[in-house]
Amino acid sequence: MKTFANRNPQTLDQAVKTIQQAGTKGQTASLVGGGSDLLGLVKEFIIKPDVLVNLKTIKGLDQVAPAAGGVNVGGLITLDSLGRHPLVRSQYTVLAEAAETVATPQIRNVGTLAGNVCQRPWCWYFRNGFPCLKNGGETCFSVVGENRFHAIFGGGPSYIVHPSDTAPALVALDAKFRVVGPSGERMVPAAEFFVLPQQDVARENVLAADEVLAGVQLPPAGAGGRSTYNKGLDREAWTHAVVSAAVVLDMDNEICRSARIVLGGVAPIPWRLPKVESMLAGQRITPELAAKAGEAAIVGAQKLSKNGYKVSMTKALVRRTLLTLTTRA
Amino acid sequence: MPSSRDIEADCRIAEHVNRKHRAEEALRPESVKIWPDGNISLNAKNEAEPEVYRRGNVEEGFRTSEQVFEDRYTTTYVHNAQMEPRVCVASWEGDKLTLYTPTQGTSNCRHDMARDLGIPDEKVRVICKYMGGGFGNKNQNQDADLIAATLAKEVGAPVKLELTRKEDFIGVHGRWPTTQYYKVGVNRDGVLQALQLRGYSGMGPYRKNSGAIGGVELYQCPNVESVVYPVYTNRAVSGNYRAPEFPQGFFGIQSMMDDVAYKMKMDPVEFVLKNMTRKSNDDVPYSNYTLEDCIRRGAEAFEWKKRWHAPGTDAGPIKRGAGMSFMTIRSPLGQSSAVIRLDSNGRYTLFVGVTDIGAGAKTTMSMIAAEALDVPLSSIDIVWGDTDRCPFSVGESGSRTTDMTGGAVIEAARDLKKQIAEKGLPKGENALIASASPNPTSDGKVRKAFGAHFVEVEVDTELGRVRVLKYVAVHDSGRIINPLTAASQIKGGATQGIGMALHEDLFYDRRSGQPLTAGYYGARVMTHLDAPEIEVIFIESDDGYGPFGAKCIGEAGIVHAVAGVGNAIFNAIGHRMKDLPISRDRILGVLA
Repeated sequence: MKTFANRNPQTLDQAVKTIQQAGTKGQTASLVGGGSDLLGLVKEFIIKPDVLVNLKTIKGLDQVAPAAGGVNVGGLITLDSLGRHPLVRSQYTVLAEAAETVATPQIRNVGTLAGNVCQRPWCWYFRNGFPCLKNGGETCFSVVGENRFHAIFGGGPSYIVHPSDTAPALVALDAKFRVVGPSGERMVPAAEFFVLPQQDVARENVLAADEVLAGVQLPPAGAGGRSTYNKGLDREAWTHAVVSAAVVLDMDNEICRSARIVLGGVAPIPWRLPKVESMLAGQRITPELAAKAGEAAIVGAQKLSKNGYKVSMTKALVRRTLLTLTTRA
Repeated sequence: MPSSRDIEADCRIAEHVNRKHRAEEALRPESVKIWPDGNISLNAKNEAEPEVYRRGNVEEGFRTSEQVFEDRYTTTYVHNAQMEPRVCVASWEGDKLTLYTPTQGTSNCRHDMARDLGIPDEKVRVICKYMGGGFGNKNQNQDADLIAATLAKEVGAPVKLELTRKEDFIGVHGRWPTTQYYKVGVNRDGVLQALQLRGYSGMGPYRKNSGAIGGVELYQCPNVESVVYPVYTNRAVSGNYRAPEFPQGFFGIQSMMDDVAYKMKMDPVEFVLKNMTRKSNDDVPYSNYTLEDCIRRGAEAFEWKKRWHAPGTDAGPIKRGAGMSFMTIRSPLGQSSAVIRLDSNGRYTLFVGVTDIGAGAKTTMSMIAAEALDVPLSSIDIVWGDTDRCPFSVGESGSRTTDMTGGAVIEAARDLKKQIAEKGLPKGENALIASASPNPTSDGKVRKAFGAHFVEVEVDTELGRVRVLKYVAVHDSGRIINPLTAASQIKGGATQGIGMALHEDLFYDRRSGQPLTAGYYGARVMTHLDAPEIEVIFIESDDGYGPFGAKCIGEAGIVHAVAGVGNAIFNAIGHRMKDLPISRDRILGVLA
C-alpha cells in the first residue's frame, strides 16, 4: 500500500482544517472512523490518500443523547454499541436491527455509524480496481458483465448498489445528518444526503471533500411507532444486503397512520417507496394489502441480465416485512 | 523466472481474453490453443489423451435397457479457503536450505524442493511446526517455497514470502470445475444396465492433478464407460482440494441417479440399495463391506420415511425436502515411518514426520503410541514437522496419516516392547530406540471407507434462501482412534460440501478474463452461522488391516455432502438443479 501520514485532530474543527491543509499542499486526505473498510481500499490501491485524518481522537462523538424530544447519535458510535443501545433498540428498532446485521462481530466492534453510511460501493468491478465509473473510468462494467448483485432501481450510468444497512434505516426514520465543514455545521435530511450516479457518478453522497459526517439526529419517536429491518443475505453473516427493507410504521391501534419504506441493496442510494407508503396510509394492513404493497414495490424495476431474481425477492420481502410488523405485539 | 513458453502463453491468453473459458469450449477446433500442442491437458505419460475407463459394452447395455436417461451437470471452481494463505521463510547456510513453510507433507516437500533446486534431499530441511489449515492447498505445491528459496540464494539472506488472500485464491489452486454428461440405462425394475460419463475438467493453464471425475465406481453395473478430458483453460489453476475428484463427480452422478429414481417412481434409498457397488468395479472384493449398514442406519436415524415425500409437494412458500447420498472412498495402506525412544526416566519420545493441518495428527499419533505401548498418553512426548529430526512420513494428504504413519507407530512400538523384553528398561544415560518403516498391503482386497448422508433442507421459494435443517452423517471409517477429532473431520467436510452446493464460485469478467470474487467475502465461503448441526454416527467395523482397524476419514465427510444437499433441494422444490452452486438467483430463476 502507499505510504500515508496519520493525523489525530482533537476537534471537528481541527479535522476540517487538517483536510484543508492537505488540499492546499495538493494532497488527498481520507477520514478514518473504524477504518475497517478504508484499510481494505488503501491496501488494494482503490484509494491512495496522502493523509489519514483519524476521527477517533475527537471526544464525545460516540454518544447517544436525548435532545429536543428526539435523539442525537454521534457518528463515531460503533455499530455494536448502536445495536445494543437500549434507547435505540426500543425507540428506533429499525436502526438497532440494521446495525446488528452489518458484516461480522469484529467489524461491528470497530466500524462506526458514519463509516457505515459513507461506505464505498462493494461492486466487484470497483473493488477489483477495474477502470469503472466509480474508479474514475468511463464505463460501468456490470452492464454487460457480471451483475447479479447490481441495481434494479435508479441505475445508470453506474449500477452499483448502496452497501449500507444503517442508511435505509436512517432514511426510513427521517433522520437528519449533521455535516461539519469549513463554514460550520449544516443539517441535511437523510433522504437528501445520498446522490444518484446520474447526479454525480463520482460520489454516493453530498459530503464535500472537506466535510465530516459528525452525527445523526433522530426525530421524536411517536407512541404508535413500530419499525424493523429485514435483510436478505447470501449467507448467514458477512455479506451486504442482496435486498433489504427498512420499514417504519406509525400505528393507531390497528390502523397505519403513516408508513416509510426504504429498500437497501437494490439501488445506488437507499431506495424509498413513496407510492407504497401512500397506499398504506390510513389503512389496516391486511395480508391482501401487504401483497398489493409488494406488487407496488417493484413497479419501475429494471432488470439487468442476471439480477432479475432481486425483483421477486423485493416483492416478497416488502410484503413479509409489513406483515411481521403489523402482527408484532 | 518465467520461461519464454510461459510468456508466449500469456500473450495468447491476453489476445483472446474475450473467448469463453470453460473446459468443454476450450476443446472446440476454433478455440485458441493455450499451449502449442492443444488444449487436452497432458497426462503423466505426456500424452494428450482423455482418461478412459470401460467395462462391458455400454452400447449393448443401452440397447437392452428398458429406459435410457441423459443429462448434463456442471460444477464450478471452489477454493480450499484454508485460514492461512501461503507463507514461507527460506534460509541458506552454505549449500543447505532450511525452509519454514506450511506444508501437508514435510518429506514430500523436501523431495520436491531438492529435485527442483537440483540438490540432494539431505541438503534441504523442511520445518512445519504449526500451520493454519490446508485442505489440499498446501499439498503438491511448492511454488511459493521455490520462489523464496531461489531469491534467498540470490540475495544471500533469508527471504520471507507471503501471499495475500486474493493471491492465494487465484494464484495457488482450487477444485477443478467440471461439465458432466451422463447417459444411464435401467431395466423395468430400475436396475442399472449401462452407465456412461463424458466429462470435461478445467485445469487452468497447467495440469497439477488428474482432473478425474469420480462417481461411476459407486454403482454396480455390467456396462460402464467413463471418458474424462482434463482441459487447459484460461482460468485459475486447478489442483488438490480435499478429495480432489470426488465431490464434483458425486454431485453429478448422484443427482443423475436421484433423477432416474424419480422418473422410475422409486424411493431414492431403494434405488441406491438396488444399484450401489458391492465389489470394487464389480470385480475385486472389498476388505469388508458396510455400505448397506451405513445407508440403513442413516435412513433410520434420519426418519427417512417420514421426511421424504413426493418432490415439490410441500405447500410452501417455505418448502421442506429430504435427500440422501452415499460414498465409498479409497483407504489404502502404504509406507510410512516412526521412531520411538525410551529414556531412563520412563519418557517415551515419538518421532513422526507429520504436520498438523487441523486434523489433530500429533494427538492421534501419540494416542496410537500410548495404546500400542500400553502406557498413559501423558508419558508420550512427540517430535514432528521437521525433516532433520523426524523420519519419512507419507504426508497429510489423501486421508493417509492415521492409516499409514499410524501403522508405522504401532510397528515401532512392537519393536520397542520387544527390546524392553530382551534388554530390560534403560538405566542412567542409556536409551532404547525403536524404528519401523512398514509397507503393508490388504492382500489384494480393496480397502474403502463407506458412508451415507441424509439431509433435510428448507427452501424459501420467494426469497430463494436454502437452510439445512437436519443433517445425519453415518460413516464407517473403521476403528475411530480419536472420536472428537474424527467427528470434527466429518462435520467440517460436510460444511464445506454445503458451501460448495449453495454458495461458492469464482466469477470472471467475460471480457477481460479477470476473476471477480476471489477471497472469503466474494466466494461466499461458509461462516460458523451457516454451519448446521451435523449428527455424526460412526459404524466401527474392523477389516483386520490398518492401525487397530482404522480407515481413512479426512476426506470422507465432503465427498457426498454436495449431492445430498442437491437431492434435498430437488425433493423440496421439484426442480432438478443441475449447476453448482445452487444459489438464490438460480433457485428463483427456475421457480419464476
